[in-house]
Parts: sequence; C-alpha cells; structure tokens
Amino acid sequence: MSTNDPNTGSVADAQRATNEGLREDLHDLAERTALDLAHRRAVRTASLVTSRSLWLVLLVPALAVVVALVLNLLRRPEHFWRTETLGEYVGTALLLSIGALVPLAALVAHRTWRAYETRATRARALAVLDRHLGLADRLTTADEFLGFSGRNGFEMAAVEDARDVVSKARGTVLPQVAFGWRPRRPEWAVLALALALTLLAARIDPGHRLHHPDGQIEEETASLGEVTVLDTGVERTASESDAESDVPETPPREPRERRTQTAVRADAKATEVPDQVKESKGTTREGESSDAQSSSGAGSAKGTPSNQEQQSAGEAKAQQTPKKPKPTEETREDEQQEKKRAEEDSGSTAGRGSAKGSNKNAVATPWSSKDQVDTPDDQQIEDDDEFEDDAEEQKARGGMQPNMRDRRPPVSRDLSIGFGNRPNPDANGRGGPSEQKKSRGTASLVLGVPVPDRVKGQPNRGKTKITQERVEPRAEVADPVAAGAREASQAPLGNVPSPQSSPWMRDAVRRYFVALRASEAEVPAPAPSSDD
Amino acid sequence: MTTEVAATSESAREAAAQFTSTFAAISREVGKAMVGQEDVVRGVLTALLAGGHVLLEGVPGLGKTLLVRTLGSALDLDFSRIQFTPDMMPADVQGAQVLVETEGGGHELEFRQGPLVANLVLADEINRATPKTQSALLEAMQERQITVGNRTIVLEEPYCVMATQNPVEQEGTYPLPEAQLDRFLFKLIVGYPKESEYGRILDLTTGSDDAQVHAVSNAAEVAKMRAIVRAVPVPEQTKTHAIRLVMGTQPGSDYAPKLVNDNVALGSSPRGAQALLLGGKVRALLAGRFAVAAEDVRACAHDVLRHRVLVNFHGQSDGITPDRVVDAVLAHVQAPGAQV
Repeated sequence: MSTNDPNTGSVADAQRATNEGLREDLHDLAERTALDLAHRRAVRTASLVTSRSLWLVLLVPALAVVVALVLNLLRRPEHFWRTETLGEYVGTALLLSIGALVPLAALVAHRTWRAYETRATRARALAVLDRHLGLADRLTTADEFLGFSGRNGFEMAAVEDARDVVSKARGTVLPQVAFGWRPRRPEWAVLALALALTLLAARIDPGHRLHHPDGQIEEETASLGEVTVLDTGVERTASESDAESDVPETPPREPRERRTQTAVRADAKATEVPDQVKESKGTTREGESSDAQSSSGAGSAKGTPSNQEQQSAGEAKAQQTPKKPKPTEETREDEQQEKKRAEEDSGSTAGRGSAKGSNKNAVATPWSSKDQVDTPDDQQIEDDDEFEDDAEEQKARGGMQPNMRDRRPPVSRDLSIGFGNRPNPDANGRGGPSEQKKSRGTASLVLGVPVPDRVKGQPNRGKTKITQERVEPRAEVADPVAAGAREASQAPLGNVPSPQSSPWMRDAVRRYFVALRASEAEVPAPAPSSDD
Repeated sequence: MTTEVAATSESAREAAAQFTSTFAAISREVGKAMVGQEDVVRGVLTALLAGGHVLLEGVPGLGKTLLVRTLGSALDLDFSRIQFTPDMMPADVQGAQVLVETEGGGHELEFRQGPLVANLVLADEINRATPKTQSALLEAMQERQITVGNRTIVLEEPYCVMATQNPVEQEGTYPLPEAQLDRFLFKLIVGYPKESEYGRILDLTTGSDDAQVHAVSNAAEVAKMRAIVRAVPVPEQTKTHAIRLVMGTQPGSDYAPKLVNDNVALGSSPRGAQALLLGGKVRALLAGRFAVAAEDVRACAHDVLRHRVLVNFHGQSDGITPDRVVDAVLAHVQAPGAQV
C-alpha cells in the first residue's frame, strides 16, 4: 500500500482521530474511576481507623479525672469546674463527652482526607474497571497500545476491540461502599468506659461548698471513697437510702472539733443501741475511715459493760471471714447474743472496767469455755501452734537428735515380786527390774551421730509395683461401608508418595521392623506343648 | 512471518479466526477416538501450538497413549512411540552407528536414527527409564537436535515430545530430574472419565466399529499456527503479573506467600514465565481476543507451575501438593485491579 494514496491518507486520518477520541474516553473513564476509588478508599479508611483508634475516646475523660484528682490534692478548686447544681453537672458531662470525641474525630478526619487525596494511577483505575465489567483487560491493553507509535495488526485489533466496549464502560459506576463500622462487644466496652470516666470526671467537685449551721462556709475536698460510693451506688444499703430520704435536708456538717465531741457522745449511746455502730459503717465522713470510727468506739468503751467491745469484736470477725455462709453466721451471732445476755445477767460485771473490753469471765463456765474453743478458727490456730512447736523443737535441736517427747518408758521386765513400790536396787536395765531407760535404738548407741527417727510430714514414698498381664486381642464389630457410585475425579491426583522416592519412609519402615524383630527376640519362646 | 500474518488489524482478525477454526477442527477429530477429557485435549493442543512439550500423568487405562496417537493421525505428523524400559540405553532413543556390510563385501559404520527423530514423539512411561536414558531427551527437547558421536541431527519442526507417567506404580521407576521436568511446557493430569462418557468409550472399544480419524491439518499449518501464537502481543501489566506469579513460587521472594516459604524447596524457573505467556497467548486467541489478559495467564498457572514446584520434606509430611502451592500463589498474587 502506498501512503500517497489519498484514500489511504484519509483512512489514516480518520483512524488517528478515532484513536484520539478513544484516548480521551479512556482518560475520562480513568479519572472518574479514580475518583470513585478514592471515595471508596476514604470510606473504608474511616471505618478502619474508627475501629482501631476507638480507644482515643478514653483519652480526654481519663485526663480529666487525673486533673481533677491532682487539683483535688492541691486544693485548687478555683481552677476546676463546678457541679453544685444539676445543670452544671449535665453541662460539664456534655462538655467532657464532646471533648472525648475530639481526638478520635481529628484522627479519622486526617486519615480519611489522606486516603481521599491518594488517587489511583490511570492504569490501575482502568484495570479496576476491566475487572469490574469482566472486559479481560481490554481497556488497559488499549490504553497501553495507544501509546505505541508503530502498532502491528494484533495491537490495532486490540485497540479496536476496546473501542467497542468503551461505551459500555462509560455508563458504569463502581458500587459505592457505606461506612461500615459497627461497634462490637469490646468496642461497646470502650464506649461504656469512656462514658463512666466522663461522668466520674464531671462528678468530682473539689469546689463543693459546705454550709455550717451558723452560716460558716468550709471548703472540703471530696475523698475518692465517697466519689466511688456516690457513682456506683453498689455499697449503698436500702437502710441508708431510707435514712437519707427521711432527712428533709442535708444535715449541716460540723467542724472536726465538734464532731469529735459528738462522736464520743454518740459512741456512748452506741452501748445502748449497738446496731447503730454497725449501721454507721460506710457512712463515714470525709477524711475519716471506718476503722478510725470503730476504734474510737472501742476506746470509749472504758468503764462500760463489755458488751460494746463484744459487738466490735464480732464485727471485726465478720470482716475477717467474709466467705463464711451467711445463715451460719447469723445463727451463731444470735446464739452469742443470747449467751451475752445471760452473761450480763450473771457475771458480765466481771468484765466491767476492762480496757480491752473482753467478755471472757475469769472463771469460765463449762459452756462458756466450750464457746471459747468452739470456733474452727481457734481450733486451727491451736493445731498450727502444736505443729509449729514440734517443728521448732526439732529445728532448735538442729535436727541433730531425734524428738524424744512422745517416747514411752520401756516395757517393764521386772519379774521379781515383793519390792512393792520401791525399785529394785539390783536392777541393771537388762531383763530385770530397772529404772526407766533414757533412750533406745541406734541413735542412743552411736554417740554424736544424728539419726532422727521421725520426720514429720515426709512419709516414705513406698515401693512402686508394676503388674503386667497378657491380654488376648478381641474382635470389634465394624459396620461395612456400602459401595456407591463415584464421580469422575475433578481435582488432579497429584504426587503419590512412593517408598522408592522417599528415603525417610524407607528408614521409618526399616526402623519399625528392626524394633519389632528385636522385641520378638527378647520374648522367650513358649514351651512346646505335650501334643508336639 | 509475523508481519505477513498480522500487518493490519484485518489480517490479524483473519489469522485469529483461522487459528480458532483449525484448533476446533483438530479437537473435533481427536474427539472421535478420545471420549471426554476435553481439558486434556485442549491442553495438549495448546502445548503443541505454543511450541512446547507436554507431560501427561494419570493412572493406567485413561487413554493417554490413545490421545497422542490420535493427535498424530489428526495432524498428519510423523509419529513415533518409545516404550521406556529400565534396560533402555540412550542409543536406543537417539540412534547409533551400526556395522553394515557393503556391496563389495566390506563393512562400514552407518548411522541408524532412533525414534526421537520424528515430529510427534510419544515417550510412554518415561519414568521407567534410567536417568541416563532420560537425559538423552534433554537436548532434543530444548535444542531440537540430537548429537550422536560427531553427528548432529536437527529435528524437523513441528517437534513435540509427549510423555506419560503413572503416579501410582512407582516400583522400578526413576523420578524425572528437575532439568527435564522444566523442559515440559505443561504437566496435565488425566482424570477418570465421567459416568456419561463410559457408554461411548465402551461402544468404541468393544464394538466392531473403529473410530476413523482423518488428518485435518499438517506440519505446515501447525507451524503457521505457531507463528500466529507468537504474534499475539502481551501488555506490560500482564507480563508483570506472570513474572510475579513465577516469583511467588520461589521461597524467599517478595511475592511468595507463607505456604511457599515454609513448604517449597525449589520454585519455578524463568521457563515458567515463558510458558505462562505462551499458554496465555493460545488461550487469548481461542477466546477471540488479540492480546493476553491476566486471566489467561492465571488460567494456565496450574498446568505450567505444578511440575516446576518442588515441595520440601516439611511440606511432604504435611501433605502439601504442588497444586495447593499454586493455589496459594494465585490467592496471594492478585490480578491487576482485583483489589478495589
């Protein structure tokens, strides 16, 4: 073909124009697909970053709690928020909640924007479109071949192939993806924790003002224990709630000096109503633990019947053994209460004036002494003491001599009669009347050789007995497998391992048979039967 | 040749159409004697037209030898069959100089060529021969020539070695060396026929009517078809994808999945990438396209790579097969545009 032919030139021009149009179409398709891909990537990135960085919502509430506690310790209420009214509390909580979302939102926005800004290359965008429409890389191939200067027949045919499918691709939009993050169980836990921290941070109010009855205002810091009780409400009892609800308004707090004086009076009253002491646990005020209040009650029990101290001891015991079953504890306390009343009626004045407030009588009655040792803890303590005595005694001897404490006198071999209660003056300790022998055994014969004949807690391991018996093999019932029609094998058969081609298999089989023959050689041959 | 076949887009379309029709005619003629096994027939023809050799693996009685014999008849090619045995020597395959008596009563050495000198060579049960004899095929398969003494014989194109082996019966066999395995373009697994195909197989083999296979092509046409295959262009991204697939089988490479790193001792050589593209070209032509797509390359991956992957001891003990390795590579190396 000659290029001077006007028909050929016009065809070439037309083809060139067509190719330019195809190139522009491919460019538009690539741009639009790249935009769609950027949008999809941004949505996926947002979902992924939200899921992975959800812990950031804990940052601000945790920081607020720390700041509140630090300011609380530094007593700088002027740098903190006020939550005296419900409105202030709700406002503070809302503010903290919004603040908690700020770090996560900032990170998600940053990553999402970066993902959106990163655009796919032209080849990749066309490849995605090819894959989505099932075009077998026609668009990508045509885009590449359009850049060639001298195309052969197959390349030109490939370009023409793509021209037919461009119109189909032009009307195609990649399916968009939705924001796919849904909180799962651990993520719900993180959100709940963030909410709890937010509420806790909003609840801590070092600037809470206390009103005295005489109008004096005192600033007090809230203790962490009080905050915990107020937030969780787990340790509140129904009686406390009822008691608080019965009070028409918040009782005015007293200065510490006055409260100490009133505490003495209140503790003195506690001897009359002992349950109040128990009820007052958990409602202690700031800066004063329940133990301190309990001890002050015990100290004020001087000169009073020891009944108060008994109550304190009972409470202390109940605190030490919280795992005991409750009904047993209650019945035991009831019995003890009855016994105490009986003791008070009879001889409880014996404990009057005792600084320790013990309820034990100097002369214990049989049932009261039983009461003293009735508890299993006491029994356990005694057992432990006995054991420790033994151990310490042996330890004190350094394990050099046997423990002779429980040794009994030897059997008397006194064959003579007539000495009465007097010992035989001719006794020599050997087969005749003698004094009680001091020691016996090898340890007494070998001087200076430590041979402890009893070691507590270390019994002999004993002998291990192994019994072997010959068991005849038994037949088991097996269900026969029914033959069925088999389909043609679709999957390749693959390599079938061959003993010839696998040396390790040959070695394994060889080792097995060598071991089998060796074991057979060790077993003695059975004796020939008489029939043979 | 390529320029003659596809100078313009019209000639390219014409050549592709001719290729497709001839391929279909050969498949149809082979199908007269070979019932079912369409994938195997297609794979053998693809390897033949791509200019490679093929290794058929399957249990006895599945028609491997029949397939190759029928193909030789349909293509009207010079066909020879070698039954490999353990006592076979290289001279039995390549040919040797024998002492012959001349007309004048004298003697002289004359070269008698072996069965390797043909267009289509069926190496039946190739793994029964010793490695020494198997090595006699290396030069013929790669260089298309054999050298005996000081004589070198150039083999006539088209030249194709079709070998068969039985994967089950391994007594007295010798596994093919890696160098020879690598020279096979495809390794095809011949499976059992379907239930619907058994009836026709029985009719063909137990009745009085024999399947008449006619020659529908010849050596020149096969050579032309090979030229058309070579003319099919490969886009850059498809080439890159084929390279990454081959590198995915090589332990320690950037594209190797964990399964390959743990269980493969030896991956594919660059011959694997060549085979992927050649097989992809034939597949693209058969699909009516004029360039190789990534899906063409991926479709040939099992046939091309399964005999080029050597599973190590750890993999063998875990029951890892080469096909599973190829599956892992295909899952790891995604096609272009697959991940949106």
